[in-house]
Order: sequence, then structure tokens, then C-alpha cells
Amino acid sequence: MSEKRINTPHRFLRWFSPPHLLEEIEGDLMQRFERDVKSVGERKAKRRLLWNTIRFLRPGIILRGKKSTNINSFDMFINHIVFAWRIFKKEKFHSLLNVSGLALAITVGIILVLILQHDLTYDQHHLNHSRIYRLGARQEMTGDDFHGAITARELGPVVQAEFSQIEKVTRIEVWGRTLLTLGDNESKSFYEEEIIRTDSTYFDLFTHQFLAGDKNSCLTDLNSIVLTNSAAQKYFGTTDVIGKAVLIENKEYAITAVIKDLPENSHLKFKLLISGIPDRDWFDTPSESFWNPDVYTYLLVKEGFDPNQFSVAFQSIYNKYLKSTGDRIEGKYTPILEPLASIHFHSTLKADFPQGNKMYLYTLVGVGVFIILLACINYMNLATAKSTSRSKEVAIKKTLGSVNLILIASFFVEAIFLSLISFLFALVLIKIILEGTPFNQLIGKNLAFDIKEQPQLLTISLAIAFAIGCLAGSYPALSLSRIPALKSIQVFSRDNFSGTSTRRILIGIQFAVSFFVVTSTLFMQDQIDYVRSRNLGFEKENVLVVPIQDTTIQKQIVPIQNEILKNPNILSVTTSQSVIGMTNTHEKWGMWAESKEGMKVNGFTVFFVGENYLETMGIELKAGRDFLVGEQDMLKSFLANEAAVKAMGWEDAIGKKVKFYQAKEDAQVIGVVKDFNFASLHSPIEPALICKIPQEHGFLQVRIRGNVSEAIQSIQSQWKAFDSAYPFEYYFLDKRFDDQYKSDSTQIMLMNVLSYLCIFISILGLIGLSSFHALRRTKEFGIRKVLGARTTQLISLLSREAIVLIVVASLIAVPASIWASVLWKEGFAFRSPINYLLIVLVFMGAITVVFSVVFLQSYRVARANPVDSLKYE
Amino acid sequence: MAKEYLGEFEELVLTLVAALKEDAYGAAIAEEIETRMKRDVNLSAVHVTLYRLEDKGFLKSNMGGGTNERGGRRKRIYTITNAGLAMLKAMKEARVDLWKLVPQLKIG
Repeated sequence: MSEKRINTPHRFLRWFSPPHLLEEIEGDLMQRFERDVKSVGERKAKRRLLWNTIRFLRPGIILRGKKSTNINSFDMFINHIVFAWRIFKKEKFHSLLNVSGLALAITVGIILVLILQHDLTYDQHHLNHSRIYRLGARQEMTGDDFHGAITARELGPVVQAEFSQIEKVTRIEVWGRTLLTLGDNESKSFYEEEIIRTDSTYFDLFTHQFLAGDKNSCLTDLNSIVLTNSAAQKYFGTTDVIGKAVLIENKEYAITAVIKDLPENSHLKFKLLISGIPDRDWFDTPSESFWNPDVYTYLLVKEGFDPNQFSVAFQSIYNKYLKSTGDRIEGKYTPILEPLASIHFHSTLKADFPQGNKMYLYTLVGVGVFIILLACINYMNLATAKSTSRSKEVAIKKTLGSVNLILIASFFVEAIFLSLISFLFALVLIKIILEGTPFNQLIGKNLAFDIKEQPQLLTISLAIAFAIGCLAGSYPALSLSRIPALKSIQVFSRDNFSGTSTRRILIGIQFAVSFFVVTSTLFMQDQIDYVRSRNLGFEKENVLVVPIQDTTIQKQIVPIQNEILKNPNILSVTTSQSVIGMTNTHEKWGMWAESKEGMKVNGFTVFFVGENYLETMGIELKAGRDFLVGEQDMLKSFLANEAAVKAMGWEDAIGKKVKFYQAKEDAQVIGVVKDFNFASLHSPIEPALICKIPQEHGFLQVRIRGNVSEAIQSIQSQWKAFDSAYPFEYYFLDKRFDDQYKSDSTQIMLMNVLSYLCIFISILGLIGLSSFHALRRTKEFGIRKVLGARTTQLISLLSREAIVLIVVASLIAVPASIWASVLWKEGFAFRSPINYLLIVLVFMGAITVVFSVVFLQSYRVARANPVDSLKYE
Repeated sequence: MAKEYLGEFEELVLTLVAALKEDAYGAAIAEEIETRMKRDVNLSAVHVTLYRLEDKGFLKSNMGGGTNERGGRRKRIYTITNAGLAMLKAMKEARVDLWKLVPQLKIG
């Protein structure tokens, strides 16, 4: 009768109450309701019922399981922890080994998570990142296949006009080193490398936090400039800079906004942002300009945009704007769209910002996982080695009625308990590594373990510690809990049950992994040493590079050269527009060149140089002649490298016709130079031409012989006379060239640290295990000694097993590391041969280390007087 | 071993279970407290206390019959165990002992 009236509270009750309590509670509630209806009326009674029902929503009801199991298992859990704590205290030495190993593993794990978190979220701070694409293009013509991240500045507006699916377009022009002078009365000047120029739509695509100024209007006026926080602080010492002026190349820009510094993980980095991209007007036909990429183009697309469809529809743009030039040079043009967030790691395009190296990330994660594995193996080994003493405990527990599940749980709890203790140490370690060491600087990131800022980090790192504990505890839990109860109590069956062979395999894995990591690291180092010391085809040592800042210097270049050459320490001086090793500044030019089928357009890297270039750079002439001093060879003669000769299929290169795409007159090849590595050895030597030009701008290059510091001082003292505006700046060519391998070196440095860790953890394990083995054989050794064995024989007996393991492990590790190094070297066009000597060295090192560890641990036991050792126990 | 201890409300409920005999179940106990002690009582509190006492071993229970006013739902009838009875007795005696220490007739 009353069921229907009180449907809602009942349904609510059924939702939270444990089923076995439902009936009695429901009954009591209804009884009370009926009573209330009689005394206070139905409406009030209903309200009371609802209230009474709600009050049943309490832990005593909800969490009430089936009678009594609850409390019991909690007691058991406390018991496990008490047990773990006792064992921790009892086995101090082993606990110390375990905690240090696990703490290192957890530290590595957490730092890896930080690195991954940093690297895998590149550019995702831009709110629209899923709708932003970068438009690059593949331009093919004979001799050149350019997959470029850049496109012509004319293309962006055209694309926006032709496709309705594209909401906004912004273009970015990256400036090189630029001199910046502050307006007002402060006449301060700075060089700035990170300047970009962009459209007024920039902030519609990209998300930045504004400290001052307005997002919508700060770029609308031409000659506006936006500063980052750190730039504003650097120039003005304050962020209150709106309206102040900055002079760049004698043009005045007004500061309209200040934004927060860009996050480390942005592929596009800048300190200053200038508004307005001007048009180009120096091409013969509009169509030609489309084939000359120069800016980065970003598209903000509408929801439901399909990149494939875009590529198909692009054909109409091609026909309209690019076709006429394309037909002339037999070119092919394919647009490439890249989602913003994937640019850093997945883009393979040229002319791009510095790229993330996926290989590098994989290696790091791989080695990190190895280290965690090693630490876990240590734990497993030590735990199972202890099985002889633990087996009694297991047997007694079993006899007292403990089920397998609870035994397994107790071993897991023990491992997790230990890993949580290690976790505390790991936290301290991480703090020290990230804040007390140059680690962050080393890897070029800004990692921080800040729980206040990112509370999820604590959960993640606890989960790592927990998982490592579970992994480490898994093997002991499963193997030790299987120990038969009866057998282990018997006095004479002293041998351990959970096989020595498993332990051997585990130690073998440790050796193999350490061996693998160490040899791989050495192979990488070997490759880098190789590219550093390789004959590059030019002499990179003792060349001083001085940037030519402006026309004041440029006009005086001949007197400067003459003045500098007076110093006996200086051999020769030259100029060139770009410096060997500065990869970004080598431009590829489409040029007409004579081939068997007549003149064809071909891509060449062109060096524009001044007098004495070959001599100063130490580039060898193979055939023909060098440029003559004076004007006669300017722009009319070219030197080709061997790669260019090969690419064109010239038998005799001298006299072959070449000319710039727009040039009216033919020029010719007058000489052939030996190939030289003008880019890093990651890439092969490409066809190149050297051209002498009258305007000597770019960089002054000085070859020094003899005393370097004296030579620099003398140039420096002369410099002021020629140029008072700019400070004298210089760098060394070899250093700049080797900077190209900076990210490789960083990777190797990290690998080095990690491989030391591997070695360290393996040795920890070895120490624990060999000390245990030695102790276990105390009595056996006593007997052997009585029967006439010598100490050395006993030690060799103990170390033999470890040596055999090392040999087996190296058999596995060597091929693996060779394979890995071959894979890694694929990133280089010039690869070092495999250095087998390294393998031998690592092998000898491993044998020595293993033997000395075993020796130290077993020496005491082996030396002991048999009288004492037989009394042992 | 630490002596088991009963809270005031626990003692009240336990005593009522002993007193109500065959008719000791949640709603009845709550009603009894309300009428006899003139004190407002929360039904869920009574239930939770009963479960707790059962866990401690002072009560045991089985399902009794249902009545019409309960919509046919059965009651869980509680009976006091020997341990529960001993506990009640011990508490009562302890209190009497203490009571004896209080000067009964205070003059002046």
C-alpha cells in the first residue's frame, strides 16, 4: 500500500546500501514512516522519511562488507608492514643495497616522465593548436628536391582567399642577428638573435599571455614591436615600456605590448615580434616569386578541415599562380601541411627551426627502462638469494594456515614498502639533481619537480614507485610463496629452492644490459670523435670569424685587410657572405648549368666570397685555376666542387657554362675544388659553386699562424679605428663548426651518466649477491682448505661463475650494441667504421670490475682459518 | 589486553536489546529510546551501533518475520550474547563501585 508513495527514498537507498542490509533497513524505515503518517500526517512523514534515508548514507552502512572480512584483512596488512619493517632492520646491508638501487631507479623514472612531459607537449599551450597547420612545400626541379618548411610570402594570402576552410593566415619571417638601439635618451645597443616579423593576425592563431598591451591591436600598426618579459627587462629593466621606441636598422619601432616569456617547449622561439611583412617586388614575373620560399606560413583552419582535400584543391592555386614559372623550369610543387603540435618531433623539412630528435627520446626512455629493470633485478636476486632463511618463515606461516594469496601479498607489501622508502630518497635526489646540478643546462631544458604547480606529478611519481615495487616484488612473491612447507623445515635441505639458475639468468641479463649500454655509448662517442677529427676538405683550425656589421666596415674592407695582414701572426684574410658550418645560411640557388641536353636549371649551394678565399680556408684546388686578384673574375667565373661536377656529369668541367637564373650573360667554370664539408657531417656534400663578388659583406675570416691571442689582440686594437659603433666580436671557425654536434654531444653526455648508473646498479647487485654466496659457502671452503685447497683456488672457484656469465652476456650484448650504433649512425652521412677495439676494452673492463668485486667479497671467507669457518653458525 | 569499552549510546542500545528480548530490532529499539528516554534518535545511528556491537561479539542476529506495516520486509532480530551480558554487568558494577565512592549525603 505504501510502496508507491515512498518510491524515491527507496530507490535512493537501494543505490548506496549494501544488498544484504537492504531488507532490514527498508523495513525499519517503512515502519517508522507508517507511524509518522499517523502522528504528523503524510506530508511531514514523507519529508522525515527522506531525511531518515539520507542519514543512512554513512560509512558505517555503505562500507559495510560481508561480516568481518574487512577488519581481518586490514589487520593482515598491518602485519605485513610490521614484517617488512623487521626485515628491513634485520638485513641492514641488503636493505641499503636495495634502497639505493630502487631510489636510483625511481629517480630515473620520474626524471624521464618530466622529460617526456616536456617534450611530448610541444606547442600544445596554444589553445588552437589542433586547428593550426604549417604550410610547407616540396619543390622539385632537376638537381634539387627541396622539402622546405618555408613558403613564399605571396602564397599565404592567396591560400586564404581561395579556400573557405581557412579562417586565418599568419606569416613569420625570421631575422638573423640584428643590432638594436634603444630610443629615448638611452643610447644602448644590443645584438638580438631571436627576432621575428609577422602579420597582424599572429595573436589570433597563437596563444600568449599579455603582461601589458592589447592582444587585438598591438600588431595592427606597421612598425609596432612586441617584447617578451625577459627582453623588456634586459633592455629597460622594467616591463612598463609601452610606447617607448626601439631602433632597428635606423627604423623606429614603437613598443605596443609585452608578453610573458615563451614556454621552453615551443618550436618557434622569439624575444621580439615586429609587425607587418612587406611585399617583394624584385622578381620578373609574379609567378616566379611563388617559387622562392622565404617565410613560415601558418594556417588556422575551420573545424572539419581535411588536409588531403586541401592538397587536391591546391591544384587550382598552382594553375593560377605557379604554373608559368613551373613549366619553364620543369618544376613540381607539392604543398605540405604539418599540424602545429607535431612540428617539433615529426617534421623532416629543411629550413626549419631546430628539431627535436625522436631517436634521442627513444634512447633515453630505453636506457631509463633498462636502469629500472636492473634495479628490480637486484631486488629480485637479493630476495631469492635470501630464500634459505626466508623459507623457514614461509613454512611456519603456511603451517599456521596462511593461504598462498596472503603470502604473495606479504612479499609484494615488502617490496612496495621498500620502494616507498626509496621514493623518499628519490625525491631528495631529484631536488638535488634539478636544482643543485647543471643537469637542466646540460639537457637544454627547464625541468622542475614542483608539486604545488603540478599536483598530478606526485600521483604519477608515487605510481612509478608503486609500479617499480610491484615489478621488483613480483618474482620473489611468486617464487618464494611456492616453497613447500615441509621441505623447508627439514634441517638438511639447506639448498635454496628458487633456482640458482634463474638467479644466474637475471645476473646475466644485468651484465648484458650494462654491457650493451656502455658499448653503445662508446660507439656514439666514437662517431662524434670521428666527425670532429675527420678531414673536412678545409682547415677549420685557427680561423677567426668576425661578423661585418654594417656598410661602414664594408666600405673599408680593403684597408682593414691590409692593416690586419701587417701582423706577422696572420697568414691571410678573406670575406664571405656565409661561413662554413652555419647551416642555415647556405642558400640553394636554382641556376642554369650546361648539361648534355643543353642549359638546364639545377640547384646549387653558392658561396659568395671575396679575395683569397681558397687560401684562407685551406680548400684544395683540383683542376683549373683560382680567382685572380682584382675585378676580372667577379660574377663571371665560378669554382665548382667535385659533387657539382659529378651531379652535372661533366667530364671536363673547365669552361662549362653556368649562370644565375635571372642573369643575362653566361659565366663559366674556371676551376674545380676538392669536396669540403660546408654543412655538418649529418648530411652529405651537395653540389656547390663558389662565386667572387665585389661587395664584401658577411664575415671577415682570418687565418692565424703562430700566436693566436696576440693576433686577436692586434686586430682588436686596430678595430676601433675602423668602427666605433659596434663592439669587436669574433668566434673560432672550428668551435662554430663543432657546435653543430651540440645536441649529439648532449645526448652522449646523458648516455654517459646513464651508463655509469647502469654500471653502478649492476655492481650493487653483484656485491650483494657475491657476499651472500661467499658467506653461504663458508663451511664448504673450510673443508676444502682442510683438504689442501689454496686461497687463490677458492677465489677462482667463486669468480669463475661470474666470469662465465660476463662472457655469455657480452656475446648477447655486442651484436645488439653494434646494431644499435648502426641505427644511430644512420643520422650521419659520414659514419665511422665499427671500432672493435672498444668492445675488447669494455670486455676487459667488465672482467676486471667483476673479478675485483667478487675478490673483495670472497677474500675474507677464502682466507679464513678453517677452524673458524667450520665453527661458523 | 586492553579492556573492551562501550560508549554511552552503545551501552544503551545493548541494554535495550537485552530488555526487548524477541522484539529487538532497529526500528523498535529506536522507538523505545524515544519513548522511554525522551530523546531524539536517528534510525541510522541505531543500525550502525547494532552492527558494531555485533562485530565486537556482544550481539548476534538472525532474520525474523515481516509484518504488513513493513511492506513485508523481514526484521533483523538481535539477541545479546554471553559476552555482551558480561560486559553490561561489568560496566554496571564498575559504575556502582564508583558511585559508592561519592559521598551520598552532603550536608552543609
